[in-house]
Amino acid sequence: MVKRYIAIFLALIFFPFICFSDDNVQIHAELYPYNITENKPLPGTIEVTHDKNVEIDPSNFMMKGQPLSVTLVKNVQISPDNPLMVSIFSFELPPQPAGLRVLPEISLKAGNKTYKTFSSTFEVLSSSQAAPSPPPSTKPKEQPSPSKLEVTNQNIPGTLQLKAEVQGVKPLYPGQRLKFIYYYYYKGDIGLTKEDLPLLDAKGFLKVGEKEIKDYTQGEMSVREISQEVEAIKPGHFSFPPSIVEGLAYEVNEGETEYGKKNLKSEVPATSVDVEPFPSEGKPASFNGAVGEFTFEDALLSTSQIHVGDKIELSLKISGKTSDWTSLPPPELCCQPGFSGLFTLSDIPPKEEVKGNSKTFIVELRALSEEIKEIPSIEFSYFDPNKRKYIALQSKPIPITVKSNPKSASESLFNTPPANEPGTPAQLPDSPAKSSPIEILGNYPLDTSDLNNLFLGTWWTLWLLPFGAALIYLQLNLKREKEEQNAKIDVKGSQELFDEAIENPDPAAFHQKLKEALLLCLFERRDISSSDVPLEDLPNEGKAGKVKAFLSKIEESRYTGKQDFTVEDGKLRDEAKALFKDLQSKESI
Amino acid sequence: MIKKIISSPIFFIIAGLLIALVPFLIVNFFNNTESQLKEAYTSYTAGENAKTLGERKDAFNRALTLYTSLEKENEPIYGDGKLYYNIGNTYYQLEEYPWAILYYYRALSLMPGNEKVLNNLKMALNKMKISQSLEPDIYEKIFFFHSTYSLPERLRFFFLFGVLSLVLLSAYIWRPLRILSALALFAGTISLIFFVSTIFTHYISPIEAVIVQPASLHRDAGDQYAEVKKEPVAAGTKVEVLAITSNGKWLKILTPDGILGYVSNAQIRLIQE
Repeated sequence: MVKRYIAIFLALIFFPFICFSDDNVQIHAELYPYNITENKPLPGTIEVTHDKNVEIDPSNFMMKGQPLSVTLVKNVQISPDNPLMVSIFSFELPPQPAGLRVLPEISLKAGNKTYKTFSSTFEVLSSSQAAPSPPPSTKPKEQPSPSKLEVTNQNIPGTLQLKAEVQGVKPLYPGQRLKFIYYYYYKGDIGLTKEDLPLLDAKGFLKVGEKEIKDYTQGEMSVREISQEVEAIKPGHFSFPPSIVEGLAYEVNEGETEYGKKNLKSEVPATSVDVEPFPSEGKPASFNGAVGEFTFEDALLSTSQIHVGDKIELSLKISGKTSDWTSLPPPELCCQPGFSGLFTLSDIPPKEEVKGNSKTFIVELRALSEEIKEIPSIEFSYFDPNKRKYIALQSKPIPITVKSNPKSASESLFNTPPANEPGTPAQLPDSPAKSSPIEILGNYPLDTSDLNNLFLGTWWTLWLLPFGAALIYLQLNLKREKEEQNAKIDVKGSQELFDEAIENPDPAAFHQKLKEALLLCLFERRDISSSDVPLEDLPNEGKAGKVKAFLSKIEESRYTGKQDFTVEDGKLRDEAKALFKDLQSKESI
Repeated sequence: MIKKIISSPIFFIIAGLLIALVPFLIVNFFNNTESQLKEAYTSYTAGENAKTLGERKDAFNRALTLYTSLEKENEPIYGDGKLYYNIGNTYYQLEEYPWAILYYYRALSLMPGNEKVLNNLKMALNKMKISQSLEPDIYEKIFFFHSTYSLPERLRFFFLFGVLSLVLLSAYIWRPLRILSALALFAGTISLIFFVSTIFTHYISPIEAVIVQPASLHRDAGDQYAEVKKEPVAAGTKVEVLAITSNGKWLKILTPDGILGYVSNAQIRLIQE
C-alpha cells in the first residue's frame, strides 16, 4: 500500500517533465524599442526556440485569431551538440496612435501543440517625443585615429551642431541658482572625437546634484540635452571659454563600422556669467544671505514659566519664495538686541525642517536672569532681488516668566556676566561655574542581575498551564491503572483461594479455605471492611448475607453431624461455585 | 525500581521544574557586563561632582551612552527597572526632561510605588510644568495587587502559587485528604488571580506613551492634515495610544485633557515597547 502511494507521488512530480520533455518549444515576441512612433508601422521579432526536428511553419503564427504574416530572418543552432535551435522571424504591426498599447499573445502551432507568447504593453510615442536611434556617446571610449578608423571615401551623411544656454535669474546674487545647458543637434550616427564643455565644469560655482541628460527629437533632428544646476557662491564676473564638439558620421555594415571622411565640428563662443554683490547700502546688521521673498513668524514650544537656566525652545518659521530652501540660513540671535547677556544659545546648530514653501528652525536657548520678562522681537532680513533691496522683518516679542532657582536663589547655574568694561573680554559659558545642588535622588549601583529579566518573571511561566494540566491528567490515569491492577490482583487472590478450596479433599481445609475465599471476595467487593470479619458480624442482606447463610449452613452441618453438606457431596461444591460466581459477577461489583 | 521511580508523581514534578529552569540558567551564565556598569556609574558620579559645565555634560553623556547601550543589549523589559531609573536620572541631569520622564515611567512600571522613582518623576514633571497625578485611583486601591506588583512580579507569583497548587493537587490525588484539597484550591485561586491580572495588563490595559518632543496634533495620519489645536502637545506629557497606523509612522493618541489626534512616531515613545 505504501509502495503504491510512493509510486503515485513520484509520478505526479515527474509527470510534467515527461509530458514536456519531447518538444522544448519556447516562443518570445517583442517590438523594436527605438521605432515605436505614432503613425508608423511597428516592426518586431519573434524568437522560437525548438528542437531542430520540429518544423516551424511561418504560416502557423496567429494573433487575435487571425493569421500573422512573418518572415524568417534566420535559423541559429545553439551549439553543434545541442539539438535546440533558435528561429528568428520578423513581423510588422500596422501604425498605432500615440499612447499605451498592448502587444497581444502570438500563438504558434508546432506539431500537435499550440504555443503562445505573453501579452505585453508598449508605449507609442508621439512624433515629438520619439526616441532617436541609438545616440552617440558623450565621451568616446577611445579617440579614434585615422590609422584605426576604417575611413572610406564615401560621404556618409551626418550633421552635428552644438548650442549652449544659461538659464537663471538676472541679476544673479550669491546663493541663487542657475542652470548650464548644452544641446547636441545631430542627424545620423555620430561618433564623437572631441568634447570641450567648460560650462559643465562650472568653475567658481557650486554644483548642485549630478548632470541630467535627456534625449528627444525635434523635427528631423535628434537632440541630446545635458544640463547641470549650479549655485553662485560669491560675486564676480565668471568667464567660460568656447565649447567645442567634433565627430565623424559612421555606418555599420555587416557588423563593421565605417566612418565618414568629413570631420563634423561645432563651436559655441565664450560665455560669461555675472554674480552681483549684495548692495552695501541699507544692508541690515541681521542680514546673513537670505535671498527671495519671505514672511517670518516665531512661536514658543516650551513652557513660558521657567526658572533661570531652564531650556527654552523657539520655533522660527520662514515662508515664501526662494530658489533654494536647503541653504537658507536661520536668523542670527546672538547679536540681536535683547539677547546678548540675557540669553545663552545652544552650541548645537538648530534643527531644520523644510516643508513645501517654508522652512522651520527649532532654536534652543536659556534664560540667564529672572529680570527677563519676554523673548525679544527677532529680526530676520533678506534681500529681495526683484525690488533690489533689503527687507527686515520683526517677530512679536513673546512674554515669559523667569523665576529664580528654588534652592539656590542667590546662585544661578550660569554666572551672570559682569557689565563689560572697555577691553574686557566677555565671560565664556564654559568657564568654571557653580552648579545648583542635585535635586533628584541618586542612581542605583547596578550589577548584572539588574540587566536581566526577573527570574520566573517572563511569559515563559505560562508553560505551567499546559504542563500542569498534563501532569494532573497523567497522575489521574496512573492512579486509575493502579487501582485496576490492584483489583485484578485481589480477584486473583480470592479466586486462587477458592480454586484451592475446591480441589482440596480434606474437609477441614476445604471449609477453611472456602470461608477465607468467600470472605476475601466480599472484601474485594468492598462489601465488608476486612476479610477477617467474624461470620456472625456479616450483614444479613445482600451478597454478604448469602455468604453468611451458606457458611452458617456448612458449619451447622459440620458441627451437628448432618450429612447435607459434605465435601464429597458434589452439591456442596456446585453451590459454592455458584455462590462464588455470583459474587464475582460484574453487576455485583 | 526504575519503573517505580518514573511512575511516581514526584518524578514528573521535579523533571518539569528542571526543564523550565534550564533556559534561565543558560541566560545568566553568559552575562558579563560588570565593567560597563562600573564605568557608567563612575561617569555619572563624576558628572555630579564636575566643576565645570563642560565636564559635567561630558560625564553624563558618557554615562548615558553606556547605560543606553546596556539597555539595547539586554532589553530588561521584565527586569527590576533600576537601569531605566538610572537612565532617567542621566537624562534629567542633561536637562532632557521629556526623556527623563519617559524612563521614569518605564522604571515605575517595573518598580510600582518606588519612592525614588516617584520623587524624581515628580521633579521632572515639575520642570516641564506638567501636572499629572501619580496617586492611585479607586480601582487601583481595590485591586491593589495589580498596581503594587509589576508585571514580572505578578507572573512570578502566578508561577509560584501555581506550582504550589499543582503539588497540593498531586498530593490530594494520592492521599485524598480534605485539607489538601482546600489548600490546593486556595493556592490555585491566588494563582488564577495573578494570571488574570497579567492578562489584563497585557491585553486590556491601555497602551501609554510619552511625548518626547513638542508634537503637533493632526486630524489624521499625515502632516498635510489640519492641526487639531494650535499649541503643540507639550513634551513630557503622558498620553494614551489608541492606534498605530500600518506603517508605524503615525500614532492616534488621547491627551490627558481628552483631545484625540495623530502625532508622528518621531515625537513619541511607548512606555512599554
